[in-house]
Amino acid sequence: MKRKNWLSVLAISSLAVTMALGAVGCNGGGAAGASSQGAGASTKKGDVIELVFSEQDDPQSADPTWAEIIAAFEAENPGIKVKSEHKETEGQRTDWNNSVLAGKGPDIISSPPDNIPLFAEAQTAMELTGVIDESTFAMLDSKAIENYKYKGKVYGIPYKVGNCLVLVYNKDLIAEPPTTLDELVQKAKELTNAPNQYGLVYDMVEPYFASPFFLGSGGQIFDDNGGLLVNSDAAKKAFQLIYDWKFTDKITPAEGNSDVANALFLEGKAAMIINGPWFFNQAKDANINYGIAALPNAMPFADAKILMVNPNIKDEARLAAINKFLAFINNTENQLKLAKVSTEIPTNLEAKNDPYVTEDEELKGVAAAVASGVPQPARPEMRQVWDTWRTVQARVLSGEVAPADAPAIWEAECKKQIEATMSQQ
Amino acid sequence: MWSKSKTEPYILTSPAILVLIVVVGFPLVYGIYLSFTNMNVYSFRDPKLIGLDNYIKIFADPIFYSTLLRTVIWTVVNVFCHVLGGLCLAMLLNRKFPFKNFYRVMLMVPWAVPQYIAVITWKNMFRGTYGTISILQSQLGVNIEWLINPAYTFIACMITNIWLGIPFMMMVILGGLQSIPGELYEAADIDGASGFQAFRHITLPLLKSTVIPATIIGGIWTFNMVNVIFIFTDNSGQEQTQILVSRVYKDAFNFFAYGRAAAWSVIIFLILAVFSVGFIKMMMKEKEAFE
Repeated sequence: MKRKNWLSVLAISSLAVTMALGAVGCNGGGAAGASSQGAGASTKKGDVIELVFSEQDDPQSADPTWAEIIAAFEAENPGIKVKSEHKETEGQRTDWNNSVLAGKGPDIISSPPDNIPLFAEAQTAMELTGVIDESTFAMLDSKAIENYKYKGKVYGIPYKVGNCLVLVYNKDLIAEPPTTLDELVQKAKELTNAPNQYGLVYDMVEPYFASPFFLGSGGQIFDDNGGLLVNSDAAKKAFQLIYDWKFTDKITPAEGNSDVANALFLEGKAAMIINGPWFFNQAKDANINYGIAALPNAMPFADAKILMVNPNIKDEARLAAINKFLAFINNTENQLKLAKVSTEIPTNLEAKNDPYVTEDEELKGVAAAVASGVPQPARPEMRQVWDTWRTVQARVLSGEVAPADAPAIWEAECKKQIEATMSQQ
Repeated sequence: MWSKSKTEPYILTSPAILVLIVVVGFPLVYGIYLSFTNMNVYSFRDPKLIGLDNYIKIFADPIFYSTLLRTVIWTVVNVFCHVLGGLCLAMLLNRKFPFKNFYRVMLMVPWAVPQYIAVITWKNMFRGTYGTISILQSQLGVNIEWLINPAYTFIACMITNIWLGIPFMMMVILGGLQSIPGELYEAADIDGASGFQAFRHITLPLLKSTVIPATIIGGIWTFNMVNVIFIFTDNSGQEQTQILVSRVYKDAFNFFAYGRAAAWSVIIFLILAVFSVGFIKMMMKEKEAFE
């Protein structure tokens, strides 16, 4: 009886262990899926090299363009195959870190720039100076490369700029976009007839969509030494603004993530939406007569899309293939293709002067927003900043925390989170 | 020297033992090792041993105790509702009535639908203004902002998880009910026992051997159920919606603080191990007394 008893205990304990520890111990778990073999492989003379390329672009609009570029590259380079892997932003980040740590992972990743400090500190990104051909860097805007250096080193190649927020408005509802916040509220009030129509919609879950008003009020996240500056009047103003939009002015829905905001705008039930260039194609497909304008009294984060390389690659032939592929992506023709599909600005110097870039009205709007914006702070602690910002914003929008109290809570929670998860002892 | 009869069981079970070592043993040992390291973004490639620091910090944080309490409430309420709901439905399905198979299939739907899809659907039903539940409650004059107020979000997660978990318990209990000999009920009927007395003295005792293991497994599953809260809160819930395992997930895969996340995991393991051993011992005592 006793032995049986202990066997049952052992069996159930094993189950508990597997479930509790599997996720962490196995170095992957939930979001971290199967990793690619790319970087771990070595090549012999005459082998066909298969590069694995990880991207997180909107599959509907970007996939055909990537497929076209990859097919053209393979036709020019018969000894190299490129396998493209699409992942969502969060899963891509986790998978990359875990698989690179395990000595494997994709060869190249295209991802947002906030991954640079994270991957650089985790040593899961290759330092590119001296590895990537100078001729590739020479094709690109040196200022863009300079913007994305981390601790003075180049870990990523920015290949298009335009990841920023603008005001997208429905021209059938608003003839002229507002130029001040007061005007925005006034117009939005006139056009709100809840729940059938709202004057303004935005992703109320992700603070990224309200961040331009924090920056526009003079808000800063870090000082030069990495000290937090979020407990500020600018933060109070920004929290007060979104609080008023919901509770005082009643120009937004009670709640909603990007799915809700996008759906309302695409169904013609919202006059204005805070969104980025990645949304334009959806508005076109929905036959919305839309226009874009700068967000009033705001300063958006304006960022590039970055190409990074797996540091596990030691094989010379593979490195040469990567060099060829990066040079191909960044040539004038391909950068233009990629920029057009997402309404962003190429970093290739020739492509930047193409008539499409200099004359397209939409791209001019994006360029103006980029010019008025700032890059995200290059610190790995931004993960904790966003996470605690999201939590505090939710508490403000639930009415639980007063906007005036929110910045102090944000700073305290962020400090605690950073100390708990990033201690450098 | 061992005889063939002594070595044979070990040879026969060796493939299973090997699999257990790979899928249980390695994660266990590696997870425990990680919990004593400072592995995070700054020491991702070369973590250092830091002794009990991760544990000390976790136990010194009041959030640990509030999250533990919330996790216990989450587990007890969910498993209680799973068993109660499963028992009621299983007893219904154990009777003869028209279209029984149709109802049985319909009641299995929550189990058949991929969990991710089911949770997204529930989340959209709880969504303000346009969600089905929000529309129904507004017609009743009730205004609950399910996805904004974290306390209600937690309740919404519980409702969803209860819905998801009932079919498993229903099937297990139905199997148990069908294994109870009909003669026992006939004898009880002849002795003049009421329906409740038959349930109390025949059904419940004979279901014990089925329900108890299912409850333990259900308890462990629910304690470690990350999906529902993860999806409902977009992977970044507020404090009032976190349970222990969602905190592990966040520390590990949002912040790459693997040392701390592993310490949380070991704590969860110890809690579950104590619960399982205690529960089994209690049941064994009862069984021995019964025998």
